[in-house]
Amino acid sequence: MNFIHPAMLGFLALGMIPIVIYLINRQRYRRRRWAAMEFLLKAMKRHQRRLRLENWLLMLLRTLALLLFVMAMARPSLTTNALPLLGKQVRQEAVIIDASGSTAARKTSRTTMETARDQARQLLLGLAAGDRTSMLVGGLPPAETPIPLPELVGEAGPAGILGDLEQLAPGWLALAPEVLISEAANFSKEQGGKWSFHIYSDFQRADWLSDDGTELPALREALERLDASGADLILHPVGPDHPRNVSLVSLRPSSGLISSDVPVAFQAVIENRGIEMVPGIEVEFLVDGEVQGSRMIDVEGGDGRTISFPHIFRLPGVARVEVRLRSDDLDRDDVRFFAAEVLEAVDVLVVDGGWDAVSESSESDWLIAALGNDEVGPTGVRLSPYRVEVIPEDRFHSADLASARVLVLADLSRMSEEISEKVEGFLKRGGGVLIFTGPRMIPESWSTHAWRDGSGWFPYEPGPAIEDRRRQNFFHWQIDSPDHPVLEYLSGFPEAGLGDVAIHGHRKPLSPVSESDVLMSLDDFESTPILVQKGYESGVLLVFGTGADRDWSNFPITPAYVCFLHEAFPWLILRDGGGRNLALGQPWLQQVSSEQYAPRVTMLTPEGGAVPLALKETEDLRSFRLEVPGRWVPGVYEIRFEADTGEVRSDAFAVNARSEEGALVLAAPEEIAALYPSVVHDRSQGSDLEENSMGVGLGDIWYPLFWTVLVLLITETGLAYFFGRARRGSE
Amino acid sequence: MSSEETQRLLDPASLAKVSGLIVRARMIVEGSITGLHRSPFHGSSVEFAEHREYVPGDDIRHIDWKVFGRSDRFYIKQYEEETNLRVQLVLDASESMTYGSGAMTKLDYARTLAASLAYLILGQQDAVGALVFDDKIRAEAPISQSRSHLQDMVSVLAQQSGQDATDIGEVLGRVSDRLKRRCLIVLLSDLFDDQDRLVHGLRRLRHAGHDVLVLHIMDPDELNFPFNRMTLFEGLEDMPAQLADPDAVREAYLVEIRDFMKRLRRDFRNSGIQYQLADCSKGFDQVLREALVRRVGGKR
Repeated sequence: MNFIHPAMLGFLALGMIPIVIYLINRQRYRRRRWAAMEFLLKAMKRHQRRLRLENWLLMLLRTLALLLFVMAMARPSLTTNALPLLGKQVRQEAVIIDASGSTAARKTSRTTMETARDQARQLLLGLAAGDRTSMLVGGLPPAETPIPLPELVGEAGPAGILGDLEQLAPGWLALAPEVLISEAANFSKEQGGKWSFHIYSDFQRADWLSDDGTELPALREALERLDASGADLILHPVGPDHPRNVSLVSLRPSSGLISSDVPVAFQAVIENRGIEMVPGIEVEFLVDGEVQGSRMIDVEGGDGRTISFPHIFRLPGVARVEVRLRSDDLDRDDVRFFAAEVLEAVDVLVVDGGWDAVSESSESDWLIAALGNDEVGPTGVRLSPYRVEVIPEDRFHSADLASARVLVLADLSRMSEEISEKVEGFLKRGGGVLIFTGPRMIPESWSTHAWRDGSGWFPYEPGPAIEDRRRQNFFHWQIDSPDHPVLEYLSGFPEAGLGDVAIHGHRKPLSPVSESDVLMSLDDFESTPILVQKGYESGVLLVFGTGADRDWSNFPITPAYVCFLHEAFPWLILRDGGGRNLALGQPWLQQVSSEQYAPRVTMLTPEGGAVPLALKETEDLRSFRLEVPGRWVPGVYEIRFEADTGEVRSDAFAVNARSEEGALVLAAPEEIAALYPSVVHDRSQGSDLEENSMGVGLGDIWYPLFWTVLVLLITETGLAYFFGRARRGSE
Repeated sequence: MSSEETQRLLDPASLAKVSGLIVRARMIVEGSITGLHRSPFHGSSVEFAEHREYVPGDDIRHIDWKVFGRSDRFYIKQYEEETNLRVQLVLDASESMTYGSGAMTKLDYARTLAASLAYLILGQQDAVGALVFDDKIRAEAPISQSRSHLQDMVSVLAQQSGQDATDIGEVLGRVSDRLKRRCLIVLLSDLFDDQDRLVHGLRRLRHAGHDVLVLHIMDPDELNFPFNRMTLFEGLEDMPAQLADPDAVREAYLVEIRDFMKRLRRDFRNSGIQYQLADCSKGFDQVLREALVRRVGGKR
C-alpha cells in the first residue's frame, strides 16, 4: 500500500487519544469515604467482566475510527486490482515532456516543443475531476527540471501542471530517456496504483537505440523497472518529418597555443543532417563580436565541410571567437564559441647538459631549430610564439625561472638537491617541464634528489643507459595513448614519421610506472616506457627516456620531431587547452595569484546578466581560487576582476552544447516498441490498453475508509448509548 | 453536654411535629395501660383520665360530686388502665454511621431520632433508656420514667463519635440478656453488618418477648448512588478502597442495595419485627409518623 500524503501518517498517534483519555481519567478521580462498600464490591465483582468488555469495545471502536480517519487523510492506494469495488475509479495519467535541445526544431511555424505542449495539454484537459496526474520533464538542467509531484485533477483540470507546461521551453541538453524513465518508475512505485506515462518527444534515434540499431542496456533496464511498477509508457511522436538541419559541429584553432602576432586558423566543421543538399549556407567568423570573415558554402545531404578562418591576434589576452550559420529549422546548433587565450611570446628555458662552450653546439640544437623563434617579420607576423633561452647545465642553479612557461632539461648529468628544489618550485607554480634523459645522466643523483623513492617529482627511478653504439640494434616506439592531446594529431598522421623513429639508446625505468602515465613505449619484449607524463602539484612533466639530439635516436631529423614539440609545448603550458572551453554544466576553475587578487569579481553572461562571484583563499593561503558553477546556456562568459584601484582585468570561458543534439535522426515509435516490448506506441492498440489506462480498480481507498469511519462512529455512539441505558436500567 | 446541644437534639420544631403522636405498643408489655395500648394485664391501679357528662345507665359510683358541687351538672369520672411502656433505644454508633452526604451524618440523624423518641416517650410518662454501641456497648442510660432522665440520655447519645466497626448481633445479644422486663427495643442503625447475626440477634429479642422496631438509617447517596465521576471509594470499618466508574456500576449497586433491603424486610416480617426505612433526607416527623402509624395500624 502506498500513500499520497504519507506525512499525515504522523497523526496516527492520535489513535492513542482514547487510550490516553481513559488512562488520564483513571488517574483523575475523586476520593470519597463510603460506608456501603460491601454492596459496591459485590456489584463490581458481578459486572466487572461485562464492564471491562464494554469499555474495551468502545475504546477499540474509537481508536479504530481515529486511525482509519488518519489513514484516509494520508490517501492510501493499493497497488493491486484486488478491490475494484472499493473507492472511486480514478485515472492516473502522467505526461513526460522532452525539452531537449532538438525540440527547438521547427516544422512550418511550430516547434517540436510547441506541438508536444499542445498534445499534452489536450490529454490533461481530458482528465476528469478526481483523476490523478503529474508531469516529468527531460532535457533540462537539474535546477530547472520541475520535481514530479502528483496532482489531483480539479473541476477545471490540473491547474498546477497546466501552468508548468506553459512555462516549458527547450533546453540545450540531450534527453537521456533512461534517466527519465527511471524517474517515472520511482514515481509510479511511490504513488501506487496503475499509472500511464505519455511521452511527447521527437525520439532522436541516438537517445533510444545504439549505433547498430540494437537496444541500449540502460534504457532496457529502466523500462523493465517501469514495467515492474505496473505502469505503461505510451509514445507520442511530435518531431518534424524529414527535418532539414545544418549543424555547426565543432570550432577549434589549428594550434593549441595561440600567441599574438602568430597566425592561427580556426577550423569550423559543418554537417548537413538532412538528406537534401543545402546550398548557399553563409558562415560568419567573429572575434570579440566583430565579423572577421564570412564564407558561402554548399553542403550535400549527409555530408560535412570543414572551413578554416585564419586570424592573427595582435594583443595578448582572452578573445571571444564565434562562428555562426544562417538560421535553419534548428537554430540551436548554428553557432559555436571559443574562448582563445592569446599569449604574448612564450618563454622557454632550455638547460642543455651537452653544451659545448668551445664549439657552441649543444644537445638542444635540434630542439631550438624545431621550436623556431619569436622574431616578428616585416609583415608583422611571427612564425613561432616561443622565445627560447638556452643555458648550460652549470648555470642552471643561478637561472631565474620566474618568466619561463616551459623548462626543458636536455640530457642533464647531475641532479643536486638545490637543482631539484628549483625544478620542484617551478612545477608548484604551474610550470611545464620537458625532460630528455641522455647518455650524460648520472641516474643515482636523479634517483636520490628527484625521484626520492617515489615521493619526488621525477616519475620513476632512472636506470643505467642501454645503448648500441654501433647502431645496429634499435627499437621503434609505439603509441600507447593515442587520444592524449600531445599524440592525438600524430596518431592520425602517420606521414609525420613517428613510427620511423629508431631508438639506439635509452634509459629504462627501474621502478614501476602507472599504465595511464605511459604515452609511448618501445617495441621490446618489456614494452619499456619511453615517453611518460606526470602531474606534480600544479605543474606537469613529460619525460623522454632518450636524448634530445641524434646521439640515441634519429627522432630530431624526422618531421614528427617538430610536430611533436609543437603539440607537446601547448599541452605543457595549457594542459587541457587552458580549461576555457567547456561543455554544458561543466564548472570553471581558475587559480588566481595573490598579485592578481581583486575584491570585486563579476561574471557577464550571454543572456545579458551580471553575476557576482567571489575569490576563495587556497589552503596554503598563498593564492586564490575562482570557482564558477556549471553553466547551462551556450556562449562566452566574461569574468571581470576589478581591483580597489579601479583597474579591471578580464578573463573569459566558452560553453558549447553537444552538437549531436542537432542530428535530428528520428526513430519511429514502432521501431522503439519492437526493441522494448513494454513500451506502447499506439494508444489505439487494443481495448486492453484503454481499459488499463482508464484505471480499473486503482485502489485509491480513502473513500471507503471514510465510510468505514462513519460506520464506526455511528456504531460507537449506538453502543455507548445502549450500554449506558443498560447500566442505568431500573433507575 | 451543654443545654445548647440538648436543645439541638430536642429540636422543638421536630418535636412539635411529633408531639401529637402516641406511641402505641403493639404487643403486651409488662405493666398495664388501658385504652390505646393493648395490654395483657388488667391492672388494679387505675388513674383518672377524664370527665364525661352523665348519661342514664352510667354507674353512679363514678359521679364526680366535686364537679357537681361546682357546676350543678353530673359528670362521670373515666379511668384509664395503662401499662407503663418501657422503651430501650439502641443506637448504632459504628464508623459506617459517620457517613453523610448532607448536613447530618447518619449518626447525627439517628441521634436526633432517638432523642425525639425519648422525649415523646418520657412525655407520655413512659420509661425509656438508651444504649450506644459499635462492636460493643459503649455507653448506656438505664430505662427510666423520670423526665430529668432525658438529659442523661441525650448526653449518652451525643457522646460517641463513631470510630469502630459494627457487631450488632453481639450487642443485641447482650441487650437481651440485660433486659429483665418486656420492652420495646428501637434499633437505630444502617444495619451494615452480618445479616444472619443481625436477624438472629433481633429474633432473640422477639423470643424474649420484646417488641422490636428497626429504624434503618440510610443516607440518600447509599440509596441512589448519584455519582458520575471516576471515584476512589474508601471503605469504612476496614473495608478496602475501590476505584470505580459510578456510571458503569450504578445499576448493579442499586440492585445489590435493594436486594439487601428486601431481604431485611422479609426476614423482619417473618420475625414479627417492624422495619422502617429512615432516609436521612426526610424529616424526622415524617419518619416517626410513618413508623408509629404502622404501629397503631398494626402494620409492620
